[in-house]
Amino acid sequence: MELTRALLRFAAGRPHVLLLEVPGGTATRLAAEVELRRRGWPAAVSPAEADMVLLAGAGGARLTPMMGLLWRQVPKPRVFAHLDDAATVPQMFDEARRRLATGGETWEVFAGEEQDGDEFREGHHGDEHGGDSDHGDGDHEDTSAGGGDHGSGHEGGGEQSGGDDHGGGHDHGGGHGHDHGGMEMPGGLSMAGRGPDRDGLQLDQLHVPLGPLLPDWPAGLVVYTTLQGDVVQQAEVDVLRAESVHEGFWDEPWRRVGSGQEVARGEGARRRVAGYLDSLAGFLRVAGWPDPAVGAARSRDELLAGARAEQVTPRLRRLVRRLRRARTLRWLTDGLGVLSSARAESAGFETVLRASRGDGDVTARWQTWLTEIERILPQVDDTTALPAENALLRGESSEDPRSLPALAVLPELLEGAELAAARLIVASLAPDVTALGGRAATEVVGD
Amino acid sequence: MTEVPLWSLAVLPAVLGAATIVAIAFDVALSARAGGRAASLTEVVVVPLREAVRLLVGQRRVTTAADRVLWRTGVVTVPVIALLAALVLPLGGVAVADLGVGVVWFNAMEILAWAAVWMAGWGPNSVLSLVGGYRFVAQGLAYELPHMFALISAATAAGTLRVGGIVEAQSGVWFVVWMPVAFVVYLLSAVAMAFRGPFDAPTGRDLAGGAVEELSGVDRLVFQGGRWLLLVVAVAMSVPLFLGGGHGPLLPPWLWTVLKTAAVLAAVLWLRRKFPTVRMDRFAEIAWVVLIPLTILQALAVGVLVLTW
Repeated sequence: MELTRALLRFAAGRPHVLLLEVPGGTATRLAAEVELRRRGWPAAVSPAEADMVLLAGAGGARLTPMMGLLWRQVPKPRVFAHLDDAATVPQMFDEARRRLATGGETWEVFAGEEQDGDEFREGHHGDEHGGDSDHGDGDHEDTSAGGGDHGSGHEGGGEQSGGDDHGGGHDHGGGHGHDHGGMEMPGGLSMAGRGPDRDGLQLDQLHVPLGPLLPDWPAGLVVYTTLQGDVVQQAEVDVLRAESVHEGFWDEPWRRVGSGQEVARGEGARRRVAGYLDSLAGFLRVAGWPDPAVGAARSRDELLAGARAEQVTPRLRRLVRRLRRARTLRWLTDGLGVLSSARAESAGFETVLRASRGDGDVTARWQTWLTEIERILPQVDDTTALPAENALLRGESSEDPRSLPALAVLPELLEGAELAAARLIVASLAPDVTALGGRAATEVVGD
Repeated sequence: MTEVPLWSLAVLPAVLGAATIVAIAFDVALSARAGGRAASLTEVVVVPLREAVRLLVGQRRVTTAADRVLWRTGVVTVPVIALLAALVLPLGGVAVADLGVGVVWFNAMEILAWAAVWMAGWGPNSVLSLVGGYRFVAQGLAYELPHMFALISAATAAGTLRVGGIVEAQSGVWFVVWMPVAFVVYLLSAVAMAFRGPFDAPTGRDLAGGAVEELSGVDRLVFQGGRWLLLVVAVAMSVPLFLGGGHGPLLPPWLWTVLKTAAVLAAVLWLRRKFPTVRMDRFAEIAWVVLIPLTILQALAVGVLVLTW
């Protein structure tokens, strides 16, 4: 026992953290990223890899069962934290590590609302009955399966979720043997249905949701895909609507202007550069290039922490130059997700995307970020006041020019793309669902 | 080259394990540097051990309707083939087995990686895992032929398939000097075979880990450790094949082998950070249109040189 305790303590020194963001959780996620980098803790990419799951942002009724499913896939010892307050992140990590070192298995709400906490605990008890009853031998029978839990979106639906129909709305936590058609199927899963693929062959179709609980994926976005092999045959976009209205993190300075405060131009510029850097960092992580991704994230965090332009500029310029010279990256993203100028215009994209050469592809989009970063960077120390005409009223969000049009064009860009390309396309559009507010989301659904 | 007695079978995993820990520590140090953090030596050396302990105390998971036999077989196969391939790997003048068909043995073991990753991807009955398995098969189709032509070049020049014989043939000029293309292609394909970055699409972040997505606990340790072993072994093989093995002035042959291996491994790990993950839908074209003709020409040039000299 002594040995086990010592080993647990040793292992807890460098936990892998699965960081998941839901609408409204941007500030918390950023704080957590800073803290992870400072401690040198790795960010997990799947529940199986994680020791600690951190949900940033407010939960919601629709999220709870999904979290329950995801939680069941996390191997013990494990710790869960739901956090809606950026300031408590460092203490939370200390506390979580302490719990891991003593065996973990905590389903804890650290700074969330009480009500949510109860819901989550209930989810946990359900898990105890279902998932854990049959693991006497140390193997954790993961009953979450793909049976009917389409809401889960765990890592894009880790399980092969047969040929069932995601319209059915089975997103409850059970997942035990939905035997469609009354037949006994292995593990209670139905077999995959078939359909013609792009070459006219009859191939298995799998219905796999991507998001919303997926690292390096826009918060709150869900794409229901029909996959054949790794090719997306059909894509349908949905948005995880939060119960309360969330105010976007990236347009916060303009909202403060709206509420009558005097805000420096530099602060707005700072937020915008940081926003582009955040998109860039996420894109580079999806592209499998960790070093410049970390570089972009570092500069973003320094800017948000208030570093002066001359402290940030040299490293940022080096990063931009490095990416401009990155022929391999360009070669890998050229020709992906091409959005014709006409379509971009009809979908309502503002200048940012159309400015990138006509028929912009993924390459054009990330290069536009670089240009914008270089253009806005000199203004971050500007102390003159932000003009009031761009101000946002409280509760109102800017119609982020990227968000709505991005969601509208996503299905057509994703159809026919391979999964790798699909992830890059989504990352290059980086829709900020939070900025939509509650009302616009419905217009997008079913597009 | 001398063969050592049977007890060396026990020493081999220990030596390779130590080399792997050093390689991981080096990689951790590079990561820390990229993140703007200076990592102390003890910190980076502790990381691989901590990871191993973390996974040993972690729970193993099983997914619904998983094909456990295939899954576990695939996972265990990765470190096993790395060790089997290392049997013919000489350390100075010594190898566990200096087979007459050493190069073929080595290549045969490497190719088992195809089956291993495919089974590990197929086993858990999970979409992203399966796609990771597919990706590795596509990757194999791209790297394997150039890889074989690179191996053939070295074997042709030495006139033998025995690894010891290939080292002896380099007592004068190292093969890297007159077959640079084969050397570079060999290293590329060695990295692709161990599916490490930039050829890590089968376990990519965009697939939430792909073939390793569903692995936890000791399964993950075996698979991921095996990947590192495979990289170390494949890169280490470039030393006897192209860099003169233990040949070198002053120092004893085993030390030369260690130094050369460390240098190549460091270069490979450092260069990885210069490139994003290479997808096979793009790379396959380069492999077939550029690398295969280049390596065939290289083999041809070597063949002509051997015949005329």
